[in-house]
Amino acid sequence: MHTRFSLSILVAGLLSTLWAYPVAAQTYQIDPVHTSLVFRIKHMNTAYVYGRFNQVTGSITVDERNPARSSVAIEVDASSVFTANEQRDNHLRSPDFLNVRQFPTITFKSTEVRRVNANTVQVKGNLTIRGVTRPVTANVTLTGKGKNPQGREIIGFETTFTIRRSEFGIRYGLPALGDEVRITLSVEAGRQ
Amino acid sequence: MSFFAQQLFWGALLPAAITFAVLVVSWRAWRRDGVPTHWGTPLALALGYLFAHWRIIGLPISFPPVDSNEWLFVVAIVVAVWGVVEHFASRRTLLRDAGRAVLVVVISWLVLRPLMGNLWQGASAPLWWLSLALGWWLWWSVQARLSASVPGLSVPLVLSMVAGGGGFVLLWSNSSSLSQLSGAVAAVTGAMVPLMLWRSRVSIGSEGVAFVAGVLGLVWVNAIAFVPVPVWRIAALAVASLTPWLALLPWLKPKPAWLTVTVCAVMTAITLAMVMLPTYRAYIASAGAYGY
Repeated sequence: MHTRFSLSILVAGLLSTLWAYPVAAQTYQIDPVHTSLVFRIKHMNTAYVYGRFNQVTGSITVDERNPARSSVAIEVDASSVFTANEQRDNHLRSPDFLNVRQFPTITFKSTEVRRVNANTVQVKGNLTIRGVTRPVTANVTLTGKGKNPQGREIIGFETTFTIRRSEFGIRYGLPALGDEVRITLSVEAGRQ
Repeated sequence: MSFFAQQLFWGALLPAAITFAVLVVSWRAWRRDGVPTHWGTPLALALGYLFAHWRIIGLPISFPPVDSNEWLFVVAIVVAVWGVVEHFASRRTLLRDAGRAVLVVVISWLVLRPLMGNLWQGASAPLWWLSLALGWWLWWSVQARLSASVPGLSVPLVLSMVAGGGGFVLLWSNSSSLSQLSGAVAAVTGAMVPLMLWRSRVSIGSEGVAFVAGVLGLVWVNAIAFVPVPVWRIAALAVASLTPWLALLPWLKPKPAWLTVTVCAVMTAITLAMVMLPTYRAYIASAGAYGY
């Protein structure tokens, strides 16, 4: 009797744990208004200059039970680059840097997601800038979950990683303008 | 060495020295009946330019290149070879014009095709492509005729001035890399000038023009299509390069060569100033504190 009672508690406990997680993978749409894609680069080997891209779209599929089934696809409008100086922004859009007329979008597509700890996953994927695709790896942290004022389920992530722009064919101004570009992406996405 | 001094040294002075050295060797080694032949000219110009290109924006990271700027490296080799071909091929103008037309149409299609269907939709795509190719071809053909009609210093000096002045126009139009590549063309073409002062019977020939018009033409096409630089600025640069025609005017033709060259250079400088000044003013008005 005691054994049967314990077993039923265990089963009920297990079921309730599973119930607490979404039954299947959930897909979220990136909210461009509450998403920030910020980069920094060293100028004349002296100070870091920060900029951002104002148009980031894409989707995130989250499978909390099986993170390997999670995925990310992000698209950035390259012409939305903003550094608070119009002339510099136009220069960044030119063939010296992003060549936005030829390569209007920057994309990232995940190829592998694995759990690191309760709130962090490691995302591997292909980043394409200026027509050149290179693999990147980033640790992505869950920053929160909740509901927006419209009652829609939202989820937030943040990641920081560094790329070498020369590996993407953006070699103009080296080494006076740094090769390393640190990228921070903070995403808010709403459930579809 | 400061940043700008480094750029000047690697992107202009050293390339000019390379071109100068190769020109001296090729003109002395292969002159025919005391008159230097021209087929070494495009190769000398190309070697200097390719060195500058490598130092300014690096070698292409793939073939065929994916980036419009990287095409300039490949095209520099193609037009240098074309220059040598022009030396040995038929002298018939029609054949040469047709050959250049095919070359320009194919190159501009290869470089501009990423914009077709994206930036340029529908009928505007072939319109842009063929208009730019036509402008490039016309300019090249006119320069080839000028080099035949006005032998001597005028054509390379004016081309060097236009490439140099055009470099500033591109710099003030948000394209430093095209600006520097234009400057590299100016430097290697300018390297011919002291040599031609020494050997007055030498001219750039349609062979050398093939290289300069091929590379500078594509720099301008890229500037209009990818930066974008207003068409009128590039058109004005092309007009500035036509001043050697003045040497054919009846009142100037019998005058000494130094006077003809001076008139061409002064008129080129004036025409360049007419495009450089408003471009600079527009740049300053919008630049704020941005100094690259």
